[in-house]
Amino acid sequence: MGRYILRRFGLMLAALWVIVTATFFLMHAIPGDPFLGEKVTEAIRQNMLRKYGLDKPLWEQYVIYLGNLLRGDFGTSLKMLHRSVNDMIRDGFPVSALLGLEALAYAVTLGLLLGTVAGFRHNTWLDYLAMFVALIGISVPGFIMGGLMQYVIGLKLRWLPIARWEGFRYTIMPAAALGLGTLAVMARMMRTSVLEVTSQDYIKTAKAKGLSQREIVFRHVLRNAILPIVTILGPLTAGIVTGSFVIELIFGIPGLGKYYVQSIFNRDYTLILGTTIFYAVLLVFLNFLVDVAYGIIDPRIRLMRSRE
Amino acid sequence: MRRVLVVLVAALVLATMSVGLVSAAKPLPKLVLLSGDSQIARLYAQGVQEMIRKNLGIPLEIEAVDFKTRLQKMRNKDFQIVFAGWGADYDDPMTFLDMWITDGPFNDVMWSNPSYDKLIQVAKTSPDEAVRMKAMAQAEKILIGEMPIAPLYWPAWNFVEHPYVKNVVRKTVGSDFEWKWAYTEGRPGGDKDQFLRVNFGEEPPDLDPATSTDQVSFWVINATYEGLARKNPEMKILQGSGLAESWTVSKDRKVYTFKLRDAKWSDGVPVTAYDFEYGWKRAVDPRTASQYAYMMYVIKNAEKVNGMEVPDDKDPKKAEKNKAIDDALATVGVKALDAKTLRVELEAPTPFFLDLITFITYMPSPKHMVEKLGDEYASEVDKMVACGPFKVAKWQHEYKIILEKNPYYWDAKSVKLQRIEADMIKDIATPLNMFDAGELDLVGVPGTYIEQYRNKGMRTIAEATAWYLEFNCKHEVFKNAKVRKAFSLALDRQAYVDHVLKNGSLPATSLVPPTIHGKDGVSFHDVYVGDLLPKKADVKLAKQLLAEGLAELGYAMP
Repeated sequence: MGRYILRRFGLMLAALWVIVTATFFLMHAIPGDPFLGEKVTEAIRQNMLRKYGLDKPLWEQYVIYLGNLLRGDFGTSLKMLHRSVNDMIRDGFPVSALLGLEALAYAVTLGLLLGTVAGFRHNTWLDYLAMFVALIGISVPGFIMGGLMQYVIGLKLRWLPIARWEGFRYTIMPAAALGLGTLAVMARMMRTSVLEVTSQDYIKTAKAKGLSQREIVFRHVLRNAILPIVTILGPLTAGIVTGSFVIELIFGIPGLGKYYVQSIFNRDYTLILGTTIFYAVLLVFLNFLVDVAYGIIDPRIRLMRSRE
Repeated sequence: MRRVLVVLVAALVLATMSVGLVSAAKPLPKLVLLSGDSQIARLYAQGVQEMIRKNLGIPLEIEAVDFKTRLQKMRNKDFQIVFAGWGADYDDPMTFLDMWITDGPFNDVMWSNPSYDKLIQVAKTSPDEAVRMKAMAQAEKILIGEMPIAPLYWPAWNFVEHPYVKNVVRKTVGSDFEWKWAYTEGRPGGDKDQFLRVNFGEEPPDLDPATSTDQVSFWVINATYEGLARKNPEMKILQGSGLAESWTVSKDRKVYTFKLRDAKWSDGVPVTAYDFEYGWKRAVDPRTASQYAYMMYVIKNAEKVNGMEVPDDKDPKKAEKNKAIDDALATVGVKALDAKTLRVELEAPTPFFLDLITFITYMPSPKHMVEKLGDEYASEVDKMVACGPFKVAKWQHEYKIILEKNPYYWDAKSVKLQRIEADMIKDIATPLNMFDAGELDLVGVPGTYIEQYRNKGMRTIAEATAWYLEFNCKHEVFKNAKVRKAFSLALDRQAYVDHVLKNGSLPATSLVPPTIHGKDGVSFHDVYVGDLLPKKADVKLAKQLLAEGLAELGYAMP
């Protein structure tokens, strides 16, 4: 197990290096630069490029960047010239993470519940209802759902605040809008998975052994059906806790999500790299966790490893 | 019968000849309009595309790219026609006219006209306002006559405020919101607590006046700093309206001497003439790399110093070059004679200099703070001070900024608001919902929502901005002025603002918008220039000019 983890760790570092390098050179290939502006004369632009070291040859900038990166320094934002990218991530991530985890918690719980019910009550009205909910979740984008909730729940009914980020009440609508898509995916996957597992021979065996329905459902069906879900949970979590551009935009939430879009629009090189690397690290790490968790949940994987 | 045959043969010969004539002309190449890629920008470009197709029969292709790509292409002169706009930096026609001089830094169209250059030079150096106005009006007529750019519309901005919001002044140039005199009267819940809730839309990227360039930062800086003068609600610049108590102007109108009043920074330290000298020189210093440094170029030697080479870290002559910049900075025409007297020497008599001193780049820098903090100045609440009506009291990055009344402000008795709370919500629909729910006091109304708010007290404000089509004057087709004019005449500007923009914008019948003032506070457009372009398309003349222009170039009519 130790050697396995070490090897995975090495691969993770290699993957990160590839991501950093590719992002670095790709973003410099986009036309324009951070200081190109409608009212910036060419002379002043050159002056700014020099001040921020962007007039150096690309490979030199790359080496400097890697050096700073190894010290954990993402540099200064080239749009918000007074803010370091480290600060921006440190301020934004907890907000996005809180919102994301809230969305994830309800989406996974409700999604699994819907999927399980739909799976066990296959082709009944319960199944149709659950899948109808899932269909809406998949097909209605977050910004439509968010805007609709703001209008109905926030403005017309006045049950919840329309926007801002001041406490739990302010998280409910954005979390609901953010989690909707995930909920739908969860429900559909779980339904398929449950249907597949229930037709397996070992379920028949369990039934034949005379196990109670309760025991069959929890010990045999759900435990096996949840495996594919765990697989996608890694990337899903990484995606959702690093924030959503649209949801943060609509609800006025000071999270990380908007940086992923705005940094590219502004050619804010340091912020593009910082947020990309942050996301990549999180993604790679969560995938690693999933792999480990897999071993714990799935006895077949444990078995294979001990044979190795 | 024979006669019929003759006619037929003749017709055949004529037809062959005319085919021969036509085929001798080259077919028109594909013509491309470069535009932004937002939904609105695409819509606006399609409006132009349709007018050109309908009125000239030319299929214009649209190339929609993102903001920075469009700018880069403009800089590289890699375009045929591009949708572009310019907002006034100061209240004088020059802010729209000096950019089109030969090889000017913003002259992307590569147009050149010696008479035009000469008139701009006259207007830039003459101390006589009447002479300047005449020269600038004449210059604008030359520009529109040759049409390197085709003005399209002068935009308007719409907003709604609750009836209890009083005296928020909208300026057309510079920082457009002025809150100094604002207050509330009749707010549900009472007016004892005087405050306003507004939406800035985004984080102010730079609250350091010497380097700041964007609108949101300007709102905050205008509220928290004050220059030598402050425009009054009628847009007039009066002696004693700002940190200067009074000023005198030399006979040749090149030297201004400002007498400062007793004023303090929000930490209690006095604001002195040294803070002004320091702040202005900081903006000019090439090592500061201030984007708006060119706003200081009217000051003696400022342009020269700003253009000096900044040494690289590894430069062996680094110390030498830095010293050269320091020495040169001493020659820049701004000098504190004592703590209360600031002497400013200009390159040329510049009548709009008094407008410039209200501009953000001309605010003082608190020397005692900036020397200590360097580039970190104004990065956080505890790293900045104020000398204006308000101070930054709380700054939650990317979320909210709270301004509070500055008790140290010299004219604090005129400031009724205790607090301004500003959100940074970028979405356009959310702030409107919040306004309707009573959570915001004043909010902008974007184009798509105008009908909903038209009868809810919406106000439309004309901006000091012009949008136009730029023609690449070196392009094989658009190098011909007749073709450019044909395109301009094919634009139905009135129909365009009525049916495409639908937001109160005006058809641009010249370049300089009517909001820009000429001599004695009259509208430069209305009094000196007039309508140089028709509001409606002149299809007949447009087609005629197109035919002539294309014939001169050897192209076939489409």
